[in-house]
Amino acid sequence: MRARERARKPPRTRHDRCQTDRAQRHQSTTGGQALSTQVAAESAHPTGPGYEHVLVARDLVRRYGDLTAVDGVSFHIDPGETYGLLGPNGAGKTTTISIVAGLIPAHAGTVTVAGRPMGPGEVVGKRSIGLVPQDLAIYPELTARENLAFFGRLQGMRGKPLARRIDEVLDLIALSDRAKDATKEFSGGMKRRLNIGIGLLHAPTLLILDEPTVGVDPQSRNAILESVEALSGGGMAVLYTTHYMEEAERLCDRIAIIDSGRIQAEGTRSELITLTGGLDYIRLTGEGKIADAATALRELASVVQVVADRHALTLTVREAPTAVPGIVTTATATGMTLSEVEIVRPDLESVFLHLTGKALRD
Amino acid sequence: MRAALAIAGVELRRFLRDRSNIFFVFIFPLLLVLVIGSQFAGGGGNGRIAIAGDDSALRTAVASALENDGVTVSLTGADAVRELLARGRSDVGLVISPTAAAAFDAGDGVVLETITGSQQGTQAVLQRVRTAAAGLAVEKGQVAALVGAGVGESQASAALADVSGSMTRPSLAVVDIDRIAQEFSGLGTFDLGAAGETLLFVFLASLAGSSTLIQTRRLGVMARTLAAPVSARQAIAGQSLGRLTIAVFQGAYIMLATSVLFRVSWGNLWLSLLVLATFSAVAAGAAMLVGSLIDNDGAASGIGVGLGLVLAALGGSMLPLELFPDTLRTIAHITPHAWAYDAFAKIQRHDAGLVDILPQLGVLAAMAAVLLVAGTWTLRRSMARAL
Amino acid sequence: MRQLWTMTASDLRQRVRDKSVIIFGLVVPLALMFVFNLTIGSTNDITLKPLTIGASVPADDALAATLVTALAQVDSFAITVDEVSADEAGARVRSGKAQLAVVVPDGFGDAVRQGRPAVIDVTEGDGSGVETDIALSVMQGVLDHLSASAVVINAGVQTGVARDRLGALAEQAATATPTVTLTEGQASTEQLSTSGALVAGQAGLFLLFTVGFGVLGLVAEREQGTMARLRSMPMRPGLIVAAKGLVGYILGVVATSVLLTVGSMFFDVSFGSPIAIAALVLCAVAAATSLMFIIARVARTAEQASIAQSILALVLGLAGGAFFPLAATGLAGRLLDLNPIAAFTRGLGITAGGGGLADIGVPVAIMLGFAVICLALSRLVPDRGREL
Repeated sequence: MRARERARKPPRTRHDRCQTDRAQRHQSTTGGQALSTQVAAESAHPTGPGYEHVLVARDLVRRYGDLTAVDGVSFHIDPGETYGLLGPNGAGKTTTISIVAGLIPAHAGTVTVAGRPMGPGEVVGKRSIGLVPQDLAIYPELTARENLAFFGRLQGMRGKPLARRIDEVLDLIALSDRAKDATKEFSGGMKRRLNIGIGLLHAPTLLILDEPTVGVDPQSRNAILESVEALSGGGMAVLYTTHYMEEAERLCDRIAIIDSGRIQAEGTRSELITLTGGLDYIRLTGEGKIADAATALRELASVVQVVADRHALTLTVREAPTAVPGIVTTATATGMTLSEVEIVRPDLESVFLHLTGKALRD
Repeated sequence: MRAALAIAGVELRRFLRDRSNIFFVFIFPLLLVLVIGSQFAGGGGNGRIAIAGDDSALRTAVASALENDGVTVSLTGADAVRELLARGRSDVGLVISPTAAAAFDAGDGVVLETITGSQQGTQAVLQRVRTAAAGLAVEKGQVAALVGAGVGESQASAALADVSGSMTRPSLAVVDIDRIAQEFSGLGTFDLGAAGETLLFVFLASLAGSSTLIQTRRLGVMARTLAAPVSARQAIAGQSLGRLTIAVFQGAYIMLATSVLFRVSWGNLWLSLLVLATFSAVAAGAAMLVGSLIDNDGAASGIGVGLGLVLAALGGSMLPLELFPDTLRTIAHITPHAWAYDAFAKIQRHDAGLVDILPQLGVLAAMAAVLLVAGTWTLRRSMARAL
Repeated sequence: MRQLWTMTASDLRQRVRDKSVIIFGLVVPLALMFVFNLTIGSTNDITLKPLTIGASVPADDALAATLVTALAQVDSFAITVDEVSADEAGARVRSGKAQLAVVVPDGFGDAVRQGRPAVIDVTEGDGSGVETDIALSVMQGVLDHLSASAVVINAGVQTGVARDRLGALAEQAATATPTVTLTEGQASTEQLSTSGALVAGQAGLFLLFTVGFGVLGLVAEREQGTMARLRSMPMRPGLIVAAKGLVGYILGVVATSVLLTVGSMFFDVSFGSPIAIAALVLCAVAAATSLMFIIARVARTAEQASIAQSILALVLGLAGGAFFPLAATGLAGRLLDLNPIAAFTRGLGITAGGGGLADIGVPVAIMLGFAVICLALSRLVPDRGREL
């Protein structure tokens, strides 16, 4: 008999993460401590009058013909916080991002960034955000340095400060030795790193990342996640959209679950988990008198529900770790031969399923 | 072999499905034939003249005299005359002042103002105006002379009319044995341009196909093809066959459409198709060469269009070879267009048989062989770049 | 605005780097101009060349002799009339030694006087053209005159005029005929030579391709993904479109200026006053750029944009006389005139003929009007690419 437990990390506070980050940073090749602190220092100075939230989105609505892509979305992001938008493809994440970044206007609702209004024509508001779009937004005919210099100039940076900053970013994204090569010759991972680097160049108050790891190999993906951790550890506010639950759980302080253009639920990870009722699942796979075992198990106090099929029993229990011994004993005693015992603790995927009846990943 | 045919079939299907081709392959060639044909057909006749002046006996007399001489007459205002001349839409301008009209009616001397353009035909039309002017008031003089000899005016007029009716005027019988005129005699309005334009478009369509070759490499389809149980030789054969099929298709379409819509006669159909097929082979080879040597499909399309237009112009596809100066006509034969044009001309105008066009076919076949070999070799090398 | 300039400079750098502008905007048109000038340009020489005529005229035929005299009197170019036998005349034409063979039949004079058919056989040989046309027209004039004299004499006979006065009738008829004198008015000069028209037409045609490299970059940026980032930059969204327009404009002005300069040097064409030419170029590029804006709005992908641009460029270029002058009158002519390329070549014709800024008002108005209308349309047409 094998016990398999899909381990769940306990919900992490920001303090926890900072500790882990410092440990990780020594090993990571992409985390530049000096940069993160510097970036944090720069982004800590607000560009406008004193404000409470870095981003406030209120009742955003956006339609495309008959389709309402964003239907009354409201949320806010605090300074230094990493906020996640978790939802499947087509949920409205990219449209929300586009509104928040001032690319397209909302049909209703308002956006404020660092105390300033935000929209397609709001020049000052845009200074506070750095956008990393899902599709690569780099010029293939220009070199990495030229790409950075171009967007840096559009941000209003010039001369020596710009040059220095470009060197720093190139170092951070580990492209210093390829700075003079045209980006059309870069590998996919390198292009992604440059894509992020451009968003960071002007040390924005809020960094917006739209599904940055889609289609990326595991190594580059890990590097990207580490950089985001480093940045947020250094104090930058981050808006992160994804349909990968593990990323949201790993990176984000607060998560909004979005589907069909609406935020279905919002909160820290542990807050969201409680939405499923905080119940665990135990799955017993085996042979023998399964029906008898099911009846006996239903009598146990810790067991809420038992669902039986031909080879397995799925039990809904309150606290799996404490309930397991009793369940195993009961099942074996009633004549079931167990081959596998599996404990499934709820995660965001189950939250999503619970809220929407759909799977998070298609 | 089957694989090669399959590849060729896919290429043709892609070509036909590409909506951008609808205009350039099907519509534009016919448009061009129509425009050029009607341009040069309408330009016939003995020149153009624009006459300004109020409606008067003089104007009517001048206009009808010139029209009888085959000159195209436009009646407009004085400013319009100058404008028409400036735009090259008339060879000569004539201004009839009210004084002149009155003088004509009175039987006095008339002064007409001519304005010359800088067209090629200006001097000839000017001479026709002189000739017409000289014959204008002849009748008045004739009546005056008879009256002076003691004949009554009405009797004089009647006699003159009677005599004119019964006498035959001397005339010129002109036979043109000019080689070029001979060459072009008997051709329909659109016949002359059709052959040249077919060659132009077949070559252009082929070269445009070189960019699909580049895309095939770029999109990774080439790699996928080679991963299938298909030898490199078959893949290349398929590509060349594909290019050839597209070129022949384009040419055959234009030949068919022009013969149906514009009544162009292509002579012996099989021979014409043979010439077309050989020329298409040359075009296909050129396309393969361009598509293998260049990696950027934007640059390839620019070079393809440029090369296609330049070779066509040099090879007699825009201005007929017969009108070229001699040295230029010799130089033109470095292009495949010139050889194909010669072959078509022989078939269309002189009912040539296979033996008669063998020299042209031979040269075209040789060009095709060279280009296809070169194209194959570079394509093979470029396949390594695709992987 | 600094950001405008940053975007424009970056775009220009990229375009030059990928060489497509240089190929399409300079190399191809120059190559075409060169070839066209070799082929078409050489056939439109308008100086009149000397003409040799082999004429067979029966001896002692006074009326036939007047033909030869009249031909010899033509002064606009040299006509040489060799009096030979009929066979010899034919042989000369066939061998190319003479361009025209004129065979007057025996008894020509009598036939004319009596009103019987009299036909002169003329054979045109190789190389016949404008000059033979003129000679034929002169001969026709002589024949008309001879015929008129015969008519009046026979009318005199019919009406019973005294025999001794008949002879004088013809002469009196001639003198009593009111003279029709032709005066040469001011020759019009507002026309480009064939070479000039080719240079101007090709420059105009490829202008439409060149400006596309700038403006249609809008569509390419969307496809490339960089448009999103540009719109997240702290600047007014209108600057992006303005930058692309500016790039297209600069490319167009530079390319057209180079083409006109090089073309005029190589083909010995003078386009006239530089200031007026500059004005025409600026207006033509404005018209072309504004047309591209409509395409940029309507096209969904870069490929669609490229196709639309090629179609419009070829149609407008063809109608504007890029390959051969399209002469049309009436309504078709008016429509052709509204084409900015046609206006451009027309304007160059005016300046080549010595016109200055004041004279090119109409072409300038057409081009600017076209630009304004296109810009207005580009605002009204729905933006098909704007779905994020």
